[in-house]
Amino acid sequence: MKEEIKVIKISENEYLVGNNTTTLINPNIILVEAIGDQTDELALAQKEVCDTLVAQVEGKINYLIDLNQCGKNSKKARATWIKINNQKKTLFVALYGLHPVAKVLATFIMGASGKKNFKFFSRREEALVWLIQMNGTINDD
Amino acid sequence: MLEKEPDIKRIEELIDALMKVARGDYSIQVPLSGENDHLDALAMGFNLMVDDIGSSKKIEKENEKIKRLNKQLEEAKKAAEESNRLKSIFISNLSHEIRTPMNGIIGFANLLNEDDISTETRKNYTQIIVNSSNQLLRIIDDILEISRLETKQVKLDEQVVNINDFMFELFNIFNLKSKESKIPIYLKRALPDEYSNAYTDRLKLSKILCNLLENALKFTNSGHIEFGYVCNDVEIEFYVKDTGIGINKEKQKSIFGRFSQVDSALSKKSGGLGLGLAIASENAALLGGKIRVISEEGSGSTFYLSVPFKQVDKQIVDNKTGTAELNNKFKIIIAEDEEVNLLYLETLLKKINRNIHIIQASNGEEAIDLCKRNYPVDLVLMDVKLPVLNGLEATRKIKQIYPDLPVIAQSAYTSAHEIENAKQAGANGYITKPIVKEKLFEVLEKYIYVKNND
Repeated sequence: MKEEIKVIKISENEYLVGNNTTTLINPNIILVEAIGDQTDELALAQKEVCDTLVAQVEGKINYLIDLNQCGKNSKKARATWIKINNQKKTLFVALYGLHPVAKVLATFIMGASGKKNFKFFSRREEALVWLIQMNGTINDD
Repeated sequence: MLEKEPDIKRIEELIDALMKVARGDYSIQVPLSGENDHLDALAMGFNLMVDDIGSSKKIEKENEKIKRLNKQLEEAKKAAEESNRLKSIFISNLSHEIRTPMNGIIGFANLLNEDDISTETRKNYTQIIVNSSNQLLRIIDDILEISRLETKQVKLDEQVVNINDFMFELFNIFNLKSKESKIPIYLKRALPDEYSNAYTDRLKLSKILCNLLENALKFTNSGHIEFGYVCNDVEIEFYVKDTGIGINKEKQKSIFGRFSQVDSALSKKSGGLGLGLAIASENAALLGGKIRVISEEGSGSTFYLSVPFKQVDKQIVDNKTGTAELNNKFKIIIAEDEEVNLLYLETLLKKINRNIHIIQASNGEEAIDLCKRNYPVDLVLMDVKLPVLNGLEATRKIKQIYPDLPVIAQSAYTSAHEIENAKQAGANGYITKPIVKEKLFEVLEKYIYVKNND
């Protein structure tokens, strides 16, 4: 039986998708705080919400993903992140988490992509700085 | 650091899970402690890897399923193409088969109109027209029959059939044809006459066996044809065995399908629409049975027809036919390996006295066995030259077991030495081939009637 995922719109820029919070924190950065197991259904709902937020943004978008409280990612959920990453409007995806579980999860997500616009950091600040720097590089070009 | 009791337990859980995966269980998952430490990371990595392997295996299985389906589709496509090809050949054959007799009918009907033909020629033309019309009628009958069979319009008409008599009638018909083509035909029957009554559809059985025998004659250029049956309590299996051209393995698969004839070049030579075996197969199904073939190209074919054996209680037949009690019949074992000689003896014996029950043995050992199984027996007619165990040895053994049972040696050997050998073996008498009715009558009078009058 398919799991029903509740999506709650908190504001124009913030949604609750299952237990995940999804927020447009910057004109071109979406923060996803992944909480608990990421099932197939949750990943699909998460993508829809991301697409809604991306539609509000002019130009490219970046993702900041918090894996500190993240549980297991199903294969489809990982594939959904790859899809998000492969979208035309997506520039960079920075994943972060303090503990080794987060690192393993990030490696499994990134490993399946084969792209270099994915990177893992221990701390949120480092991840954010990288995203800003990378966007600057692109803007400089 | 890992020497803590809970850590060791978690490592053991991981090892257990690994072993389950090694045994092919990809549903296993290691629980995480929630401490997000290295062991949890290891467990998470393990769980994700198992998920990936499991789904790869699932994909592999699905791929195999798709491959199988593709193969089935490929085979179905080939079958459809083959069916289409055979249909084209069939149409071409049909045209040829219809045009040939039509040519005869139209051509000779026109010739009949000519004024200057004699009465004899006119009769000759008329006969050709009649023959051609009959040929045409047979083609139409075949087409109509396969159509009726396929639309399930044909019903069974079961009645009591004496299988031995029925087979003998077939033998008589095909023996004449086999003489024309100089291919000897032999008949083997497994049951004594009074036990060979069965409920079946005589006409359908006849159609099937006639088709098999006609094919055997058509496709056998040298050697012989043998037909007969074997049976058990539930099934009777008829067979037609030939030493003809045989059928290769590939063609054997499609031989019972419509429009199939082993070789289209041969079909032109031998004629026919290739519907015969399809009709036979449909009729066999209608009788609750099936046809199969065992064949080797160049070495001949054996066709088997298995149908349920609905044996009729012999008492019922007795009551219906009003024949005398079979128990009062004289029981004679004929040990003879040549079918023609056997039939000759059987015919002679039945002409002399219809109240004789004949049991056939094709070798010396079978003769001994049949004596034991059917005792008391009134007489044994023993051919001297028999396979497996020769007639003289068989006579010696029978006489050891049943000293009073009369055994008459019969042979084409006529020398005094041979006759003496037979006497030494214990034979009560000796008749030479060709056997004459009067001589046989003398033997019967001496050993059966006298004995029974005692």
